Amino acid sequence: MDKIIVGSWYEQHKNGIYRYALSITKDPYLAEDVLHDAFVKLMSKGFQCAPGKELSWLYRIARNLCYDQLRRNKREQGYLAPPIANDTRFAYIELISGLSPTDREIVTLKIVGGLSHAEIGAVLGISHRAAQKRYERAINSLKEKEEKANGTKAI
Amino acid sequence: MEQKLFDAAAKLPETALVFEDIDYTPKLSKTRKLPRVFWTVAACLLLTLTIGFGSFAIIAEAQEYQDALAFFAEYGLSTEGLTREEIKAIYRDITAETFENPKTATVITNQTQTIDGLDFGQINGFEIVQEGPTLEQMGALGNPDNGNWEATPKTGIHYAHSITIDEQTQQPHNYVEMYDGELLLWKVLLDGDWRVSGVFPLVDGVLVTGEYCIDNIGINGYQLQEIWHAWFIKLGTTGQVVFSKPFYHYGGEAYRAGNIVQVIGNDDGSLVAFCQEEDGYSFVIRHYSAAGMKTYSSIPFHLNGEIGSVSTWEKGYVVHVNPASKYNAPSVMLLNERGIPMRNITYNTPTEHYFFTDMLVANGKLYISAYTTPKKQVAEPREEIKGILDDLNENNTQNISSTDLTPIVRDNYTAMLLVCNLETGIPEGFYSIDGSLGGKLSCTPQGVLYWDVESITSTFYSPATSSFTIGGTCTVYRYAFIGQKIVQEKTNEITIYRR
Repeated sequence: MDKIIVGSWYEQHKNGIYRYALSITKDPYLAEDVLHDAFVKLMSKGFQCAPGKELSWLYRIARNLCYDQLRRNKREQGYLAPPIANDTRFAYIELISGLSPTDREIVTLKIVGGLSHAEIGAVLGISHRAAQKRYERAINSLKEKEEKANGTKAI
Repeated sequence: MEQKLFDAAAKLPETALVFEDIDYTPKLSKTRKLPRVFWTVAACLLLTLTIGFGSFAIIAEAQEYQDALAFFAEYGLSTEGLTREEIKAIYRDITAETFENPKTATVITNQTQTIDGLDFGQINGFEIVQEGPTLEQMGALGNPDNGNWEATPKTGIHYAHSITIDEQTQQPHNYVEMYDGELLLWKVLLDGDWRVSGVFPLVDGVLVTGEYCIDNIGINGYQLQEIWHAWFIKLGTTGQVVFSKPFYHYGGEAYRAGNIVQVIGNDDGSLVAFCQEEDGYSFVIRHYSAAGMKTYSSIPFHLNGEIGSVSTWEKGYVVHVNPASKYNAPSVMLLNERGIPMRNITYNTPTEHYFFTDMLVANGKLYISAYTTPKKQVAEPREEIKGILDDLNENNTQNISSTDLTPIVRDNYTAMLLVCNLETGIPEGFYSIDGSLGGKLSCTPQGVLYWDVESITSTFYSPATSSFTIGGTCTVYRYAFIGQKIVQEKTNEITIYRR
């Protein structure tokens, strides 16, 4: 694939993919590997999808690479790895830690990646309505958790 | 909430990876990474092998520890105070017959229950009244060295060892002889140079023990150098060599000089040998088949004295131990069937010295034949006869006659037959006879116990003699214990007394 196009895509979505990978791997180094390998694949194979589906495809590639990395490194989701455990910059990851793995991805793809519900559905292999409903349910869940922690209730 | 997430997400670190740093270079096939499946399989295989070998090591160690515990239990050994590693190390030390572990000897004797001294006040005894010698008897025998008496002829099958010196070479020739009473049945020359220490009759022959010269390593100047090795040889009932082999005290290949001190022959021709190390008191019990194959060896341990009489019974062994110092008390050691010492009883009272003459297991009891002498406050080399010598010195009687000396000597001695509990070694009763020394014990297949007692009959005083001061003769009385009845028989057998 043309390097300029890839470069353009890289500059536009590098932080989103990096942060998405970071939310899954909880390891900055693994997240960087995922970012690197995703764009190497893009460069070598090009977008293996229908036009307009490129972003979903790229995040799906990144998602697969994340889980490959985790299996390779025998890391488990649901905890903050030592490199980011005590870093305040990763408060977002702590905020969503109470959600299920799929819900964490949905929220992150929305908040961090800026993907639409349809694109989120394409990444995860679910319908866009399912992606939307689960996103709304996840947000409500986080809100209730926060209210319970603060002893308040939103009216 | 959603805004909060956006705010938090904005704080996430950004990647430091720049586009130009991404390596887009196509990888050559030879450096191509192996498929993930291969590495997964390889990793699993390595992990399995690692776990497998690790598991094997753990299983092997656990098995050895279990084997060691079973060994300890089988031998009646205690593991108290021992670590797991020490238990395994001692187990290996014993089974490999190296006996180098410093804790092995301690473990063997750790459970030995020691009883020091006896209280005869609590034991019922029976005094056998025996007629003393007549004046004529006391005067007639005189000094046996003058040939006034003859040794009582032996009866039945017995073996003897004799030495003759070759007139030309001046080398000793060792012979083993078989007799039926006084009739010589055969006489066999032992090949080579021997130092015979024991001749033990067996049901199918005789076992001869001692040392054998295995090599003359030449003449160094004027001195002939020789190498002697502990040896034992079995001759059959016609004098044929059944086996002839070296004796290793510790059982391994490294030679350590030892002696077979006592032998008990079994009805099937096998034998039990009680062995003691030559330059120490290490003690071991060894079983041999009729053909001389070692079938069992106990664990060597330090015996605080020298082997005297020995007996076996269904639950183990009984060993009479003569103390290293004559005036220390003799003891009896009871060992379990593995040869592990379980009890050690010292026969000693506050007022008397005990001297064992024989020991026998019969009729479910342990019989000990002994004699006692008064115990003085200070032990002296001739304490056994100190009372007699004090009497002679006080009366300044240097030429005392046998008729005057013999009563004095008889007053000094009491023969004792101790009837002991076989499992504890503690006397349950005793028989005593004044003026006598305890002698040999025997038992018929019908269970009739015979106790030979040497009754001091005549004595003479020989202060100028270096090897003894008082000598004399004893008449052997045989006592048969038949049920509740004791039958006394005065035999024609005479024994020599020298102290």
